[in-house]
Amino acid sequence: MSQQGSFGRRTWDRNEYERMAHERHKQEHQSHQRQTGKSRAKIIDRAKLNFESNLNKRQVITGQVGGMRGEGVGFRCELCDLRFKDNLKFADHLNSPQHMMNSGEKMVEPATLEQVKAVYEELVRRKTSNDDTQDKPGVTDTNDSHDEDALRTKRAQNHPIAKDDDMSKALGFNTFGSTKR
Amino acid sequence: MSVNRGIIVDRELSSRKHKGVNSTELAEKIVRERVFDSLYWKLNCFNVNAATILNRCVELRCVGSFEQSGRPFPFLCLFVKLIQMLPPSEIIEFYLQQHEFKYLKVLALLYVRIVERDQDTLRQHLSDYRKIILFENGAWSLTTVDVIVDRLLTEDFFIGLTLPFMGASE
Repeated sequence: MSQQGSFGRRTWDRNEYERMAHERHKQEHQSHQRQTGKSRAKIIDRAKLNFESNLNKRQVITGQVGGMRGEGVGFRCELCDLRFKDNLKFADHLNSPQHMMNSGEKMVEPATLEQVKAVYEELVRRKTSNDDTQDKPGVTDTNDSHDEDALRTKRAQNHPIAKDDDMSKALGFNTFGSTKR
Repeated sequence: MSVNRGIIVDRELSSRKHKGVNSTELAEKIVRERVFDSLYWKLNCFNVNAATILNRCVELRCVGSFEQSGRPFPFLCLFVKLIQMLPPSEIIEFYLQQHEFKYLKVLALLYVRIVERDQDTLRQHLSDYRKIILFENGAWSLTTVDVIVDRLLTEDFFIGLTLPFMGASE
């Protein structure tokens, strides 16, 4: 692998070392997956994280309070076994190279125009289908308006001025606010 | 042994340059820093490209830079992401030509004004009268796409962003 050159300097066979490095990387990667048991990629959809689901709720925390590992108070990354006290730090961790390596998430490539068009078509399709479903409750809306008409006539019937009484008609009201009848 | 990396002056620098300037620096420092610290940026603007960012762009419901609390609006975060990514101009053209999502169009118009600085492209959209909800100087208002285009063509500031010099109009 290394030889003495004509001037007594050592020279190295670069291809040989490159092959060895490649094999070593492959072995390390396999052993890492075996250790952690995370061969399956567990990618978290960041946009769907809901930090407010436990807002104003009480939870009984068993286990340790301090430290960064294990169950406890705060936001927990189960993959990396780390806890964070605020969501900004948690989001920072999700974007960190350490977490990306553990979850197997890859950085995306720059999009081409075709990909942009494909995503756009899908979004337009979803939007139009949503509009269609939103039209359906409109049928029940007309029913609601019927109910409202009924409610209005009922209110008119109950209205104090509607009572047949000369005095109340003249005054425009029929009681002085007393509940006594 | 830890490596001393020195003082970090600019975060999230782009891998691309626009006219010799790192494209992230097209947004002012103070604007960038506040965007990079926001939760929306960290959750929605990481690891996206010009195609996947559309999922967030179509959810836009208003145009604005910062709320009264100082939290950046999604509109501003997505705009900073766009200039950081610096997508090819044909993708921006596609954003402009689509007619389904008006806030995506305004985003692309602002991009054209600040990055490409092309007056003719902007003028083509002066006949779009769709309504836009705008938050500026601490107040909500209702405006239209053509009014925004006109402001982009004539004024120096838009939603607190400085608009660069574009050359004299004809």
